Amino acid sequence: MATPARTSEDTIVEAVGLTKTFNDFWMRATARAVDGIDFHIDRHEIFGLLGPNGSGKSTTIKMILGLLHKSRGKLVVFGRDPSDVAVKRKIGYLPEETYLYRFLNPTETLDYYGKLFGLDRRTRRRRTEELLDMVGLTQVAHRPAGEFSKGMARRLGLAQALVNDPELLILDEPTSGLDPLGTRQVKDLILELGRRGKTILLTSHLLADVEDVCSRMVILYGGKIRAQGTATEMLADSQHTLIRAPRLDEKTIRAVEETLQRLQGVGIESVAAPRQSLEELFLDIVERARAEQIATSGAQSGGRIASFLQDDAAGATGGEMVDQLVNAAAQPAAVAAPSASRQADAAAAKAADNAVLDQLLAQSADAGRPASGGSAAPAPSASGTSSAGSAVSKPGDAGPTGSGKPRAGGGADRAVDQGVIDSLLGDSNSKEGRG
Amino acid sequence: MSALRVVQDKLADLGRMRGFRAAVAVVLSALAVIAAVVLHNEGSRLQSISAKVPDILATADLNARNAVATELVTKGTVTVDGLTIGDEALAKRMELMFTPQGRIEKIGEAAAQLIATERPEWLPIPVAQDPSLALLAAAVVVAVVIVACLTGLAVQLVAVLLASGLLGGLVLAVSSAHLAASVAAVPLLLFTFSLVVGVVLVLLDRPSPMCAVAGSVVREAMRLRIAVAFAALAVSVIPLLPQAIDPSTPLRYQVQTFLSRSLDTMYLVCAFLTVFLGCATVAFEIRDRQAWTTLTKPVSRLSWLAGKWLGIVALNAAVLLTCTIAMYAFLAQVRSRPPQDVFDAMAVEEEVLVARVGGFPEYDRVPTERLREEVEARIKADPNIQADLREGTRTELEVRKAQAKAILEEYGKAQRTVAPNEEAVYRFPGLSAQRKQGGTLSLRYKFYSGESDPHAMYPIIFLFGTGDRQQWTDHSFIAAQWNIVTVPAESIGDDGVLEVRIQNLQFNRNAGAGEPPFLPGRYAIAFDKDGLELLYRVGGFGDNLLRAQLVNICKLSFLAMLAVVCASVLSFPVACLIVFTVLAAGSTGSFLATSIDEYYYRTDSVGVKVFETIVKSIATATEFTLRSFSEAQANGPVVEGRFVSWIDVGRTFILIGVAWSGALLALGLAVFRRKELAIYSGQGG
Repeated sequence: MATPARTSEDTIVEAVGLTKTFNDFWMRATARAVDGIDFHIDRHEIFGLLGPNGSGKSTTIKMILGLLHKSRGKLVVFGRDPSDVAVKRKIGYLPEETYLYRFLNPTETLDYYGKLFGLDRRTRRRRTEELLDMVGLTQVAHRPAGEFSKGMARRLGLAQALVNDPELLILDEPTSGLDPLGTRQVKDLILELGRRGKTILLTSHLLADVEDVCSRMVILYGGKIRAQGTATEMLADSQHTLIRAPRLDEKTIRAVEETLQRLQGVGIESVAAPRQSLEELFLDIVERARAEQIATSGAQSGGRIASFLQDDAAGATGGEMVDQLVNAAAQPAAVAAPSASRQADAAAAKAADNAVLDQLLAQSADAGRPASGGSAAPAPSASGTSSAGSAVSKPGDAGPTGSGKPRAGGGADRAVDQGVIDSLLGDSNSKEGRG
Repeated sequence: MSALRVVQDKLADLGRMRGFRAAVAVVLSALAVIAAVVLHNEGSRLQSISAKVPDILATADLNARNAVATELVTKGTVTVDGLTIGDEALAKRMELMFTPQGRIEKIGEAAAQLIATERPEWLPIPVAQDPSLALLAAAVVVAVVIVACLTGLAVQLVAVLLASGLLGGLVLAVSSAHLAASVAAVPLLLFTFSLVVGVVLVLLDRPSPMCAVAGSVVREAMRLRIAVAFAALAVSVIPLLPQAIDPSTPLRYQVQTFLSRSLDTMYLVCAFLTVFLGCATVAFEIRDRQAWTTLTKPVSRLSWLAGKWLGIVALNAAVLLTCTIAMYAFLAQVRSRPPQDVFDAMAVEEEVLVARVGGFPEYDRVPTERLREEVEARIKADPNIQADLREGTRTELEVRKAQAKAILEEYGKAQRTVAPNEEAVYRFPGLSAQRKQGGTLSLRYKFYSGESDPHAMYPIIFLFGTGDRQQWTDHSFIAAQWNIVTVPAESIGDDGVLEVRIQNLQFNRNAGAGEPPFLPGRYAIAFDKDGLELLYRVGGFGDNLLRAQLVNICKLSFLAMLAVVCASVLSFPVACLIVFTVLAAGSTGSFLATSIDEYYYRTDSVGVKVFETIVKSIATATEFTLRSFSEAQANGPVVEGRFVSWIDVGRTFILIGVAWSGALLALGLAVFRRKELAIYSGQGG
């Protein structure tokens, strides 16, 4: 699926017809890892490069970083060839596996990489302290990296990717090797960095991790692009509507179904009691353990985002607001604030949802019939993130895993329980307000 | 483990306490200063005595039987300011030093022998010669102690001192003091190495990619114990070398053996460290992909390679410095061993621990006109040559060249041959500076005579100088081996020319009345072009050693660059193999050249001939390519007391250090830039 090439000052990475073929010693082609892909990454966006193993994600990233040479096509990074050393000053890279020097401790590791960027000693020291605090490695700052678990090494790898306050952050499978807590923190960090104006390119084959954070994505298979677009465009399911409500009795559910049947001629495909996700349970247990101050020799919970990772456009005021948001979002189950574009989508969706509910209210007032109780309606789970304006509900699901907002449906000519509507409106408002 | 951890933590806490560090610094510095003062005072006392003894000996008159002469020949002692110095064992030797006129001819020698008995064993010879060295050493020790305490190594320093003391004490209880000192020195030297590396890391602590990479190499070598293992090997071997040297051999040979083995150990350890570390740090970093994380930063591939090279060179410098300190310390121990005689002692100071330049005599040249006439005469007189010319077997030019070459060789040989009862004169110009300097020079010669039986001694007479300055000495030499005779600098003429007459005569010591004092030698004496060489001092041992180490560093730097470049494009084992091959071929260049000349098969088999040709071609190409590397030998000259000049250093630096290394870097970079560091890991087709 080709996208016309764009020339823009805000385009950081541009690939046109990018191809990479690996050859053997006799220069015979053995594998075409990337086959004529076109994409671009704009400033300030979080771009996802998705695909199964061997689809060309890492190869594409390595070409962007100059670790591999392209076979054909055009690839420009910050307006220059990827092999230009000056380009790398603006890039931070977290590889698929964290390749650290086993004999250096985290302090020395970050100091070393800081020197590679020409940072003076004071700056290196300050950033090292902040980054280690951010990734929760302060307690093990003087332990050799060779003694680290995979997750700890991954955190240190993330820290080294940020030491230069990069404009473009490339994360190759960033949540690989991390526990759910670490995964949550990485996702929050990615969103926070995105809010601060960083451009982020991340690859993953764990779609759930990417879905929550990417604004635009490309799906690769066999070295070719199979789909690309925004998350909204690609993930919207216009065929279903998801409504979350407090527990309903059987009678109420039947009433809702009758209302739907009457108004739109559709029935309820599934009704289920939501259950807590394993991630939520895990995070809850960890939070309680922390509250009880149980000791651990592993990585600690991450601290505040390092202060030097600022958004230049936000200014001091913006930074303070962001800090407040970050503080509020520092809980394990924190919900990240949506980006500006996603906020706009959310607002539009909310307006549409309110219109639906107004219609329902009006029809209910006309009909004067209370909604009956019954079994609980399907409700979104409390996963702590809100993807802007989309709701996904597959037929037959016992409980949806993503939160969503109800979309505007057809006109309603049956009354519903006012209390149900109030509680629906109350839930929607509180979800928007969080994060 | 927990108990050990507790102890470690406690010691770490102790090491961080300012009071403890200050106390350690003060106590150790005080001990160093006290020791230095004691050594300095003793050295000064010895020097003041040394200044007075020659004046006293000058007054000795055996014919007049004055008190000084009588004391010398009866007791072997002399009294200086009420202090009696000397030994009864010297009495006979002192008697021999008197001339028929009743005076001591070689006062300096006599004084040296007497003063040597006064030096206590615990006073190192360098301090006896220059007491200020003790204060200098104390200053260095105090500086080291302060640096160690400031950098948080106070606990380690105390631990090392205790370990040294304990080890030394244990060995002293069962063996000699010298062995105890050797064993005790090992922990101290390892600590010194750690300190030197610490200084290196401070110097490399700069916000630049090249320095950062170099620093990581040094840390890698230390933390993974690679450098520590090699340094430990070197600093363990060098202090123990004196124990393996036979003390019954002449002292000069003992000193030369120690120098030779120490320098070779240092160089080999550094060379092996360079090969292993240079190949490993690059090859493994590429294989294990740490290079990805580094080279995706603003680090050019040139900076990365150069940084790796710089780190290895810095480590080599640290190892060389530590080993040189060890060598200096234990050289003093070897020097303090008793010499066989006064000449042996003098040989150590004037022929070994010195920097000398060698000169060959000026030989007469055949005048061109005479050469032409001789060639013409031979061509006319030789019917075979005439026949060849007529038949066209040889051209006239070929014949003339061959005849001229033969005549020149014969002429040269004739100059270098002394028939029995004959004399030959050789002139050595350009020695004005040496005349002013005074002292002695060494005439080194390798003569052939008769059957050159290595078990026989052949007589010869040397005359040095002309007119009033002429001195002569009779010698017995071993044929086909190098011999040395001392030449007094006062024999050099005012024009800076030393005239040496060689007479094929034997001094008739037992000549009775009417018998000739000299008898003719039995056989003619002959020598090669480089068989007669005059060596004279132009500098001291310390400076010479410094220049030699600079030459070694240049060669090691080249090896480091070779290792880094090879490992950047080849695997670790292949890179090691290449670098080892170059090291071996470069180090044995002269042996290789000789071997190539001698390499042939007596066979008619074509296959064998082809094989021989191929092997010879490869060996010749290798020898030619690495000739400059093998010729840049600095350790041998130092051992022989020969001068390593700044020109030698500069030539090695420019050719090997800059040109060769630079060319390697350029070639390696051209290949490395095109190398794709990331490998394919997918399933595409």
